[in-house]
Amino acid sequence: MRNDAAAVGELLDPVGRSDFDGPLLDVRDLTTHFQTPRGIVRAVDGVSFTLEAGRTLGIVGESGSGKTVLSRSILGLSPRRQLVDPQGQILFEGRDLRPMDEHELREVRGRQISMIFQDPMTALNPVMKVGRQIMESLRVHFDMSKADARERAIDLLGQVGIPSPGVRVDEYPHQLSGGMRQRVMIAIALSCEPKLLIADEPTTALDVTVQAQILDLLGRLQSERNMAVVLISHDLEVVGGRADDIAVMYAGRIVEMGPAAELFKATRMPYTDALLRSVPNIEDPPHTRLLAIGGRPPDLVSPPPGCRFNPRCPRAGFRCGVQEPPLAPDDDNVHHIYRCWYPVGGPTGPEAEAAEARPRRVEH
Amino acid sequence: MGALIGKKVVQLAAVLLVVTFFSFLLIHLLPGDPAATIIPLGTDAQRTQLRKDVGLDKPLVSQYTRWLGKFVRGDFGRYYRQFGGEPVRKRLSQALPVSLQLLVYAEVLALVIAIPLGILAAYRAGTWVDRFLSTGAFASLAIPDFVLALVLIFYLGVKLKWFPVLGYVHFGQSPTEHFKSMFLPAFSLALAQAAVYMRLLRSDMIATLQEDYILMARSQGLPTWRILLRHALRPSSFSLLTVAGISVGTLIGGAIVIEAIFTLPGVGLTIFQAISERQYIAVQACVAVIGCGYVVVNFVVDLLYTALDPRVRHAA
Amino acid sequence: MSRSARSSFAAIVVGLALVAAACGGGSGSSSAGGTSPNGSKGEGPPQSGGSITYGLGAESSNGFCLSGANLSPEGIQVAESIYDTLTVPNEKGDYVPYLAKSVAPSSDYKEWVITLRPGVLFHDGTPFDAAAVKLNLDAYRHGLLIQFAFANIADTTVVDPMTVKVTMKVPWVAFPAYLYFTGRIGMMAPAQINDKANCATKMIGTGPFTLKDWVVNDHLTVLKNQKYWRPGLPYLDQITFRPVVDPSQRTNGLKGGQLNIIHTDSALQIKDLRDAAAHGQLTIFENQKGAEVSYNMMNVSHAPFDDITARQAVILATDRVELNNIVNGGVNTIADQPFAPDVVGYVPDPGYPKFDLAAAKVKADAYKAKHGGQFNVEVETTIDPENAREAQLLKSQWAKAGINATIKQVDEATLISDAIGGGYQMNLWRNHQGSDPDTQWVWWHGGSAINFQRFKDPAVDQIFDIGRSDIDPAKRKTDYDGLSKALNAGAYDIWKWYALWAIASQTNVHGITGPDLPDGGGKQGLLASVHPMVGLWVSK
Repeated sequence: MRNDAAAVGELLDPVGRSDFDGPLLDVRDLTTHFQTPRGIVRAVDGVSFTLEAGRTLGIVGESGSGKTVLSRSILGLSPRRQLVDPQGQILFEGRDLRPMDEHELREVRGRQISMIFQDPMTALNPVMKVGRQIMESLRVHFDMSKADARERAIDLLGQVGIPSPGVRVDEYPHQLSGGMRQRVMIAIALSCEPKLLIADEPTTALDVTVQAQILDLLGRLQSERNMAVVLISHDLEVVGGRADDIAVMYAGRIVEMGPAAELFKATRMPYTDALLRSVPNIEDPPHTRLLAIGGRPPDLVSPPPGCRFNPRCPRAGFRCGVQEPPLAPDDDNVHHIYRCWYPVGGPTGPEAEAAEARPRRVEH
Repeated sequence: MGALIGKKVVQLAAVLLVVTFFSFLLIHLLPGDPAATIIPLGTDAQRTQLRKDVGLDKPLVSQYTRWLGKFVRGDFGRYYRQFGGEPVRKRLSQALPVSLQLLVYAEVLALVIAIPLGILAAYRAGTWVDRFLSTGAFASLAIPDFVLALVLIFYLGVKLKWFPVLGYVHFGQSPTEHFKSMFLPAFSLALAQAAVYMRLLRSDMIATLQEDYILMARSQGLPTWRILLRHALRPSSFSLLTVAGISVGTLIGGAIVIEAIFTLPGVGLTIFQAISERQYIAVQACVAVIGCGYVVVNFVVDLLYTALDPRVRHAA
Repeated sequence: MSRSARSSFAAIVVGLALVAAACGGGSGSSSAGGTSPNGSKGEGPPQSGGSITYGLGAESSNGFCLSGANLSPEGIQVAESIYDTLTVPNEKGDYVPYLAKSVAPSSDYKEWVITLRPGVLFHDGTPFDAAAVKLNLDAYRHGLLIQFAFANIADTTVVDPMTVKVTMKVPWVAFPAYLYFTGRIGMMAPAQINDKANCATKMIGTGPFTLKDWVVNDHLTVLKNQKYWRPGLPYLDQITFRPVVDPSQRTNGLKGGQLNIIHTDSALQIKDLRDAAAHGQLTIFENQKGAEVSYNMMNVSHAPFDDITARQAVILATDRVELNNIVNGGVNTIADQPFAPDVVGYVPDPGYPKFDLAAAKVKADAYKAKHGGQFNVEVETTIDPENAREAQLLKSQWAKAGINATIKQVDEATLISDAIGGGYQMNLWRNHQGSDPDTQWVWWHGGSAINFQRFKDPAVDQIFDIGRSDIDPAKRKTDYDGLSKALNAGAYDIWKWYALWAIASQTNVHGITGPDLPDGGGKQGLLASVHPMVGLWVSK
């Protein structure tokens, strides 16, 4: 896919290259561990994936699965002083972001890769006019004049569907509705035409009616700009219709990954299956769904031995608590990979182990 | 917004009434006949004059309204001396600018010291820089302002001769000399305040730096200084502003001693002298002016708060 | 040292104390006279021009309506620059005409004729004439406190435009001294005296400098009087007086360069200044001539000090050497009497008892035996911390003799009004500056309204009565020799030490002792704290 000569060339190139022909983002064996008073938290523990330009990767998992840490690790936004021995590579257009210092990363952030966050109320500065918040990125990355930046900010507010943007540009976040604020955040994130957008639960804090609008807007902007998107959510359904590929994370690891349609059609990992079968609950806030399984994600300071999902897995066998399954391709589709000894569609762990044990007992 | 200010103005008026009333009462808290206390060595005619001026024979409330009426019009009474006695207003009009300058310089100096260091300590929270600054802040809190003043006088004034150790120079006379003459007194007052402000800003700033919008700003590739100054400082400075307003009271208290040490002809020195001369009418006026000043400063801080935080502004 | 407290004592003290020096000729030694380590030699000829800033220990906020003002020594320094007095003391201690051309008595000393120096103008351009002098003297005769000093004047009359006649009730030998009065009997212009409302602040005199402006607590600036009656004088173009209450700040100001010359009575500062002067950093001029005495004054109209046993007990129980070492760093000279060594009335052995704790106990026990076993004393002092410290020290010394003291701290005005009203037992005081013992009449004579201690001592009264009327100058010198002994026999006071004043300046400031007197006869005699301003000059 790439040769060393090309890699050297990319390193010399200060800004991302458009003539690079590999994947836009190539994350290899990414490890993000934090030092805490309780011990080392293995928030992201050996994650690899690739993302081509213009495509969408959905990352799905419960809270605490490591998906947010993963997204922040890509931009080097994790608290540096707590990081323990960061490993792996984050190749963006072939350049590794992992060893970059703050100064180099600033050239990438906002300009090449942008992020939007879950709660537009807290992610927008409450004491700054929204226009100024958009203008700041433009002025920093493009050295624009104030007047030009303002014009562009109004233009962007229009593009993200905010009515009378000429007025809104001078308003404060608290004067806008939640949906509006999320549109503002998208405008900020897209102001410098990044090649990759990381959207961390972009609709979780919004009303259901608005969620679809925002996702549709994101989709439109993505195709207009041929922008790649990493769409992070705890809700498979949100991701399902919009992602080309989906990665399911559990306890800091990818447990199943593949083309969206394949994943839905031939779910292998019991955890993915549980996510799919989770049901909306009327009494809970609108965007939460009840997992079909009980229990909570494991403590990332001391993850359970064997398969990390095994304590909660309805299908787990004896082996699951001893030996961790590798991330291996499915027999039917090499692009569909998962970690499971006893995948959905086959016998459960106890069934399989009973079947194996019986002949042995006969021998004796 | 207008209604909010209106409400605050009404509150302000009420507080001012209370403050002036208690200042007015000062004279009546004196033991015995106020006239005899104020003029121990004078003649009966002078005491009679004083009783007439103050209206000591009238009921308390009408004395107060009379006094307040004069006070509002800038008639603060006068000094009682064997010969004439100048109006208190004349003294105050000379003294007030000096004290105001001292307070403003001290406050500005405290903020100029505290804000960069507070930001630095928050940005480098937990590192040796932070610990060094925190220790320094503790140390400066422990030094009384007058002790600091004496130390500064000895080293910067007498030894190095960088700053004058006493006296006041009008700005109009020589701006350079003016600021030089005000530096040591203002700095003596400012340092402990700066320590308070710095610690306050540091802790608020650390909280602010955890906010999502800071992460958002970082994810947009904004330079660190821009994030600290333009994104984090303002939302971190609300309690700093409030405390800065309240601490004007501390500064006024300190200024009395500092003015005496540096021989700055301000309100502090005027009160100091009026007390030792038993010019209680002048003391009363000075206390009322200081009290009102303090209340008004905090009123202005309240308004500034509104200006600084758009959420408060629009909530009204 | 207790600057603020002292200035207030000084205020009333100088307002009242009658300074007359050794009338009838140079008595007393000059052992405690002015000393200047760098000397006045080698200063070179005076140079004109330049201006200086003079640091003073107190602001004269009561103003300079001289007939009514209570002026501290600091205030008198300022007055010296604006006003002239009719007489001044010469180096021998005689009072010689200054603004007057002559001051001459009748043979029985019941009339004095003052002839004026011609051609003298007040700062406002009006002539200095007999009418103005009469107006001044009459004002002084009605001054709130000074009236007691001038009570012996029966009448003043204008004889002709340049002559005033003053008639006395009883023969008054010391009158020329009263016309100087530590330098505070300046001649004010009629325009100042008559403008009652502004008399305290609009100063108009005949002196070497004219008032430019006065911002209370900040500065009082005077400018050279271009039409001064003494040709070629003064030398300076301008003097700015700055009140700097804190004594150490005054020293700092001098060292830091904000002040060119300062005035101080702080023993600790004087020690420091002596040290700096020894290193050539500055010049110090010390003067103890005619010094005031610091003492504890007892009120004999009140228990416990209505009983001489109680007075003797506290006198014996006071270890003044320890007190002086702790309070003054040992700088001041211990006093056994109210008179400084160069003053008439001073005697080598006035019979003041030595510190004797055992004897004090005996007296204290005797007092207790008479008064139900109790010996309680209340000492009044100001809120000044240095004074309070001194009072604490006294309390602990007396406790060793079984005397139980309580300290009452009051503000300065209360201290003074208590002295006047008699509402005190004992207080910390300073008084009796300078010279002719007749001037102490008001303090100690049984017939005086302001005998604060309220004793009526026949022996004391007799000495005063003889001295006042004795027109034989030679004999008059010895008339007062028994006064200190009489006071000590009555045990009215705990004498502590003589006040010490120093004038420290930068090395380029000269002429502190002033130029020669206009009519010859050497320089002006300097008494205690005050020195003339007319001769100050700076070398370039």
